[in-house]
Amino acid sequence: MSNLENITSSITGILADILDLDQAQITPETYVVRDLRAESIDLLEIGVAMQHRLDMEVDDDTLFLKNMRQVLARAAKAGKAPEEAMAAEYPHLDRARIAEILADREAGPVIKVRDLAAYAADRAGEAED
Amino acid sequence: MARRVVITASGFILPLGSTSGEVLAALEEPHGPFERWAGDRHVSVCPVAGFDLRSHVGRCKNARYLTRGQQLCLAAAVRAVAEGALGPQHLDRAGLFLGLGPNLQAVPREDKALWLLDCLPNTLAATLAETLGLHGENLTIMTACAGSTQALGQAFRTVAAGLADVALAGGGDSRLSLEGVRAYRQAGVLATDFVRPEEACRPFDRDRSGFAIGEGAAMFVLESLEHATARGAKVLAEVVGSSSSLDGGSLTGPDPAGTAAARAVRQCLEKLGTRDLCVLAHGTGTVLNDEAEAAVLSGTVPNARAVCAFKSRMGHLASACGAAELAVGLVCAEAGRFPAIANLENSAWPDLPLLRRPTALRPNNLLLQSFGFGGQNACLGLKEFKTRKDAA
Repeated sequence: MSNLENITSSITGILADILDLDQAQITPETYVVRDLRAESIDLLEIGVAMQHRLDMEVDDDTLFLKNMRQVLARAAKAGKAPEEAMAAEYPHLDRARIAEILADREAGPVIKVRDLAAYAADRAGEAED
Repeated sequence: MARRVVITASGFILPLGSTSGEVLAALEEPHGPFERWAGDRHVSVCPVAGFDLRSHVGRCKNARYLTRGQQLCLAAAVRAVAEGALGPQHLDRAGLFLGLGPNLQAVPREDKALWLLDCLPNTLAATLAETLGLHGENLTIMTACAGSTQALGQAFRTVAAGLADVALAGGGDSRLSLEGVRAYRQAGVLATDFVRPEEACRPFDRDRSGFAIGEGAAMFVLESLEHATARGAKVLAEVVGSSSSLDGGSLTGPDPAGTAAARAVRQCLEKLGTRDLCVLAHGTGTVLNDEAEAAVLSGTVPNARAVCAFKSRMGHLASACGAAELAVGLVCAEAGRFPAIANLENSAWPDLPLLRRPTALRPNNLLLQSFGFGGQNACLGLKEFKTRKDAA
């Protein structure tokens, strides 16, 4: 298994525990809030559990894209492209995913399991560097 | 004038079972389903076998903040609501009165952001409010082994006073953890002198040496009589009195004279009377507790029809004991048959009407008594339900 697969499996395990769900039903494409109905209290627990089980510092604001609206509003005000602002704020997300998020955001909270995995993989990579 | 209050449903998950039929069948046995505790073979326990919260309530992410006892209580509450056929229109303003114990396993944790919720006493109340849509008057009462009896009393008073038409009340507890067993062991209250685990708990017997640990939960639907009648609910019993008192003596053992406990009993008897009375005794089987309770029984209800001690059959359910014993008592009253106190071979009080053999009995009056650590006493008085016309 690749490192990303291992991380994804850890994260789906954490989500299953905290949200009292069957791990097999959670895939990288699952929406954390839209599909799994995680609430703010759950996000708090998910952040702490990732920190503990994956042994890494976790910044909840970045992990859950909590300030995305403000980031995009600031970019619009400064005449900056939203893609650029997102890439600067969330370096763990690749360009394709950022484009997807921007197209999807009107439909509700965008965060997917794969975004949590990307964040963790990015942090793990940083720790190795 | 205070309103009449009736019990219209119960939901329970006990070592003896979670339906009337299961409980009655278990009571036909000479002993309860006790076993030796895997973590300490000198301790007799009476667990709820195969409890699975999800099978009762479905997905429940808040369960991670609840003790096993609280999870049992949650399941019992869901069962009581189903049994009582209560809908959202009844539950919205319904009261909630819980008798619960401490979480002896709660510690600060690196891997749990909100471990604080493990410690807060009202986490179950909040979960029940969300699960069942209850938003009315409420209290979570943590008065040791008197907790659930006091919770029932407060629910009774709240409905009688017109502060709620419906209230859910009772409790759930489990001390079947390393910490729970150790706490009782160090307090020296457990029966350790036994050959077979089902013979460990011997209430009112000369050879008693302490209690055995049970677990479980029982919740009840209390309603004003008008409300119950208007919706055509079946009535299980009428609650006519509740009381509580404090010994003000030792932090653990009871006042040997039982003065304050007897006062609580008398307060209930004012409404209940002593005729055709069956007492659901606290009956732990500890040397001191039974002695004090025997003094109370002799002084208040020496002529009761029967004194039962259900801890001899399912162990001590800690804060949930009163509610659990009431659940069993109501099952027995409806069936018209009460079990003998298990292991009562040589009564230390031959003059008391302690139930020595299974007895056909339909008592008009039930007195529930719980006497806990801290000299914490609580009683509840119940009558067989009769309409005014029947009574006249």
